[in-house]
Amino acid sequence: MGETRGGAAVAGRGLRLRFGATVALDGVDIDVGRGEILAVMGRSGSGKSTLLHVLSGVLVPDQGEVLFGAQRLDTLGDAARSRIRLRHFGFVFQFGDLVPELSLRDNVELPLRLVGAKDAAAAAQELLEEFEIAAVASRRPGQVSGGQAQRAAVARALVQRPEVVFADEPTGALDSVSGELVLDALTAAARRRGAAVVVVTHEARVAAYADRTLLLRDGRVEGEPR
Amino acid sequence: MIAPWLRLGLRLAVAGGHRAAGRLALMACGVAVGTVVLLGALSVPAVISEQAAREQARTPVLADTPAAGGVRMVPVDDAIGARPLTRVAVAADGRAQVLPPGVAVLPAAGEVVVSPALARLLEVDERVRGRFPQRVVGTIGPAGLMAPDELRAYVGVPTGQVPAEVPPVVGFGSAVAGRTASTAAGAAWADAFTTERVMAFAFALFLLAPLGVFLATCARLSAVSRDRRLAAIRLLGATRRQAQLVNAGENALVTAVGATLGTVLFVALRPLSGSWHLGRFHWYPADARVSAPMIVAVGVALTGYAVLVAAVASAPAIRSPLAARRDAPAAAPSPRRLLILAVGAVLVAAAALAPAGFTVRAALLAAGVLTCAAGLPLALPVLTSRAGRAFAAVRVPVALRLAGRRLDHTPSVAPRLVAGIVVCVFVSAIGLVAASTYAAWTRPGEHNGVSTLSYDLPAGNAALVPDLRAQPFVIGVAATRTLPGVVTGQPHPVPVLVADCADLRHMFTGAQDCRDGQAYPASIDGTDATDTTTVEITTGDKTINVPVAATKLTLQSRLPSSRNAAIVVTRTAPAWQGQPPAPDSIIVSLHASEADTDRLYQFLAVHAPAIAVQGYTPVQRGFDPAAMLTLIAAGLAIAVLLSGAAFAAAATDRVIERRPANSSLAVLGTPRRQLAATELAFLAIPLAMGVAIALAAAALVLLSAANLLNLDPAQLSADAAPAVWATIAVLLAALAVVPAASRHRITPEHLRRQ
Repeated sequence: MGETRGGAAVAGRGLRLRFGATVALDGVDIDVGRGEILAVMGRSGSGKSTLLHVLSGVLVPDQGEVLFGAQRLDTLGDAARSRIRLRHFGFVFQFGDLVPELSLRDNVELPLRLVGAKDAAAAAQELLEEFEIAAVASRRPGQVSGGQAQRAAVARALVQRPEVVFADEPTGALDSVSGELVLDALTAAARRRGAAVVVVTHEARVAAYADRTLLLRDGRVEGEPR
Repeated sequence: MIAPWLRLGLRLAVAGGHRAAGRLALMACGVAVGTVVLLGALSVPAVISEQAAREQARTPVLADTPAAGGVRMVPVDDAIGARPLTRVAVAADGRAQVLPPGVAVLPAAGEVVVSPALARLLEVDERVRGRFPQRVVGTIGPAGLMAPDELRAYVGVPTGQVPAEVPPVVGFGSAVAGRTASTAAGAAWADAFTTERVMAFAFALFLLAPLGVFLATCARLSAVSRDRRLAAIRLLGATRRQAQLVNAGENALVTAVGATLGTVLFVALRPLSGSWHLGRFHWYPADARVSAPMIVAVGVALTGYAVLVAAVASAPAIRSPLAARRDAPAAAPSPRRLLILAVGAVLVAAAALAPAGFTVRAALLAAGVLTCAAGLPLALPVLTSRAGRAFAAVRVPVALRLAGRRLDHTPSVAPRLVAGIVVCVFVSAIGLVAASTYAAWTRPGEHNGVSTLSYDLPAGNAALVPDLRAQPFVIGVAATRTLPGVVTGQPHPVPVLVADCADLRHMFTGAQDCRDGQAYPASIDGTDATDTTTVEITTGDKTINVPVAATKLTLQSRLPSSRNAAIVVTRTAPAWQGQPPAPDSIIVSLHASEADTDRLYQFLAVHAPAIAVQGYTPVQRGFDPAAMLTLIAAGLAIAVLLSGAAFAAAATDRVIERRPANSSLAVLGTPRRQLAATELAFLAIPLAMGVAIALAAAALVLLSAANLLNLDPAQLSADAAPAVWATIAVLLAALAVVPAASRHRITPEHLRRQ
C-alpha cells in the first residue's frame, strides 16, 4: 500500500463508487505513468468521467485507494485535495470551463496568480504563443471560437507545469480540425513538460494520440485494446 | 494566503461586461438605499436624545412653595387639526423675569409668543387666528423648540387665571444649580419617548425586513452563472474556503461601494430632512447625527450580510462543483419543511380556542404569527415542486408542462424569488388590519346616531359652566366636585356629579332611568356607589341633606376617562336651591367634528387660556390614530414596493440567465411566445401559490385575533382587502417584466454556453 507501481504519476486501486443505486465504478485498478498519455474510453455512462474525477481528487471513492506518487488522495480532506489539484494537476473540460468574465490571458494566468507565482504573465504569454492564441488573448471566452477557447483551456491546464493533466472529452464540442489542433497542442506540450495525461473520450481518433487505452464498461475495466 | 483569492473576487466583480455591470449597479443601489434607511433609523435615537435635551432645557424649575408674584406657567397640550400644539399660559407680574430658551421676551396678558410654524399658520388660517386672539409679540427661536415645525405658544394671561397652587418658575432645565426640573401642577410636559416616536423608530426598523429581502435578492442575482464560475474555480483547485473568498471579494466590493454611496446620500439628504415628517415625527437636521464608528459599523454589517447571503446561497455549488457544472437536479425539498408552517397554524388556532387567559392566548397568537412568517418561505419549495411534478404529469399546455418540470428540477429557485413578497403579503394583511383595528378603538363614541367627544376641564371659575352650556356646539355639560360630607353617620368626602339627565345620556350609557330633579347613588365605570338613602354634604357655609333615590345609576363612560362620583345630583335637584356648587372639573360633550372641536378651543382660548383639556382630541400625544395609520400604511406600502422591485429584478435576472437554454429551444423551433409563457408560468405558479398560502395564513390569524379581541371578522376582511389588491397590482406589474425580458435574439454565445 501507499505507492504507485513503477513510479506511476497517479494510480487507483480497487476503486468503487456508487451514486444511489447506480454503480459508477466497480473495482477499477489503474496506473498512469509519468509522461504517459492514457486514453479512457467507453460508452456514455460507463464511468469514464467519474474515474477521472476520482483520480483527480474531485470525488472520493466509497472504497479503494487513490495515489498521487506516494500520497493517498482519498484519505485527505477537501482542502488538501484542492491544494494538490491547484499545484500538481491540470484540467481540460469539454466546454473549457473558462471563467467567462476574464480574458483568455487572465484565464491562463489564473492558476499561477492563485498560488502567488511571480512569473505568471511570462509563463502565460509563452503558452498563448505556443498555442497560437496570443492575438486574441485579450478577448473573453465568449468572443472567440470554440477551438481557440479550448486551446486556452489547455494552456491554463499546463501553465503551472502540472504532473498530471486530466482532460474530459477535450474535443467533444469541436470540429475535427479544431479538435486535432487542441490534441496536438495538449499532447505535445505535455510530452515536452513530462506531464502524464489522462484523457477521457469516446472517440477513437482521440485515443490514437494516447500511449495506452483503457476500456471501461459498466464501471469495470474491460480491457486495454492497445 | 487569502489575497490572491480575494483579488480574483474583486477582479470578477469589475470584469463581467455590461450584464454583470447591471447586476452590480442594482446591488450597489440596493445597498445604498439600505444604508440610507439604516443610518436614518440609527439617527432616530440621537434625535430622540437631542429632543429630550431640548425638552429638558425648556422645562421650568419651580420654587419649592407656591407664592404670589414672579412668573408662573401652566403648559397645556392641545391640537390644531391633526397637529399637536403646546400652549403655555404665562402669568408674569412684571418683576425680574426668567426666560425660557428661545424666548426673548415674556408675553404680558393679551400677548402671545409663537413658534415660527404657528406664526405661519396664523397668517393663513382664520380658524387658528380664532384660537389665538392675543397680539403676537415675538417668535420662539430654535433653542426653545423640539423641531422646526413644532406648534408652540407662550400665551400671556392675567395672574388670576393661573391656579394659586402653581409655584413660580425660578429657572429652566439645568440652569438652576442643585434643582431638579419638575412639571407644573396638572400639566403634561411632553415625554421624549412618546409612542409615536417609538413607532417612528419601529417603522424605520420595519423597513429593514423588505430591505433585507431586497439586498438578499441583489446578492443572488446571476446566481446560476456565478455558481458555475465558482464550481469551475473549485475544480481548478480552490478549496471551499478559497472559493468562498472569491465569492466574498466580489460581493464585498459591490456592497462597500453601495454603502459608501448610501453614506454620501445620507449626508447629502440630511440638511433637507428638516422639512420631512415621519408621521408626526420631525426634527432639526443637526439632531439627526450618526457617529463615524456607527457609519463604519453599518457598512461592515451590510457588507457582512451580503457576503453571508452569497456564501450560504453558493454553498451547494462550492460543496458539489460537479453537480453545479452539470446543472444537476437539486434534491427534492423535505416535506418536513411544512412542519413549521403547520406549527404556526396550530399556535394561531390555539390562541382562538385554548381555555386560557388573555395573556396566554395573546402570546400564542404572537408566537403563531412569527412561526407562520418563518414557515411560509420554507413550505413554498415543497408545495411548488409537488405542484410542478403534478403539472408535468397531466395533460396541460406545453408551457405549463415545461414550467412544471423546471419547478421540480430546481425546487428552490422560483420560491426564493417570491419568498419575500409572500411574507410581505402575510405581514401586510395583518399590519393593515392591526392599524384599522387601532383606529376603530380610538374612534369617538356613538350615541343616538351622534358621535360625541367629551372633554374634562379643570374649572377655574364657575361661570364657565353656564357659558359653555350656552354655546350652540355644546351638547352636554356636567360638573364634578368632591365635597365634605357625612355618609351613614360617618364623615366622608363625597364625589358628586352635577348634570342634567340629557347631559348624562350623551356622556354615559346606563343613564336612561335618570329623572331631572332627583339624586342617585352612582357607579361610574365600575366604582362603588354610596349605599345610603341620605347624604349630608357641605358646600360653602351651608350643610344640606340630599335624599338619594333607591334606584342606583350604573354608568359607563362612552370614552375612557377618570371620572368618579359616588352620587349623581341632577342640576335641578331641590337640594341645590338653584345654586349648584362651583365644580372641580367640567365635562363637556360635543359633536365629533373638527369644526366643533375648533369652536371649543377658540372658546377656551378667549375665556380660559390656561385651562388644560383632557379626553379624546383629534391628536393625543402618542395615541394619534391618523399618525399611526400613516406610519403603518407607509411602511407596508414601501415594503410591498421594495418586495415587488426585488421580485422584478430577480425575475428579469432569472429570465436573462435562462437565455442560453431558451436559445436551444428556439433553435428547435419552439415559438418565442411559448418560451415567454413558460418563463411566466415558472414564476407565476409559485407566486400564486405563495400568495394564496399567505392569505390563508393571514385569514387564520385574523379569525383568531377576532375571537381573541371580540372583533368583527367581516370588518377585518374588509380592512385587509386594500392590502391584498395593492399587492396583487404590484405583483402583476412585476410579472409584466417576464415576457418583456423573454424576448431576445439568439446569439452564438448563448448557443455555445448551452
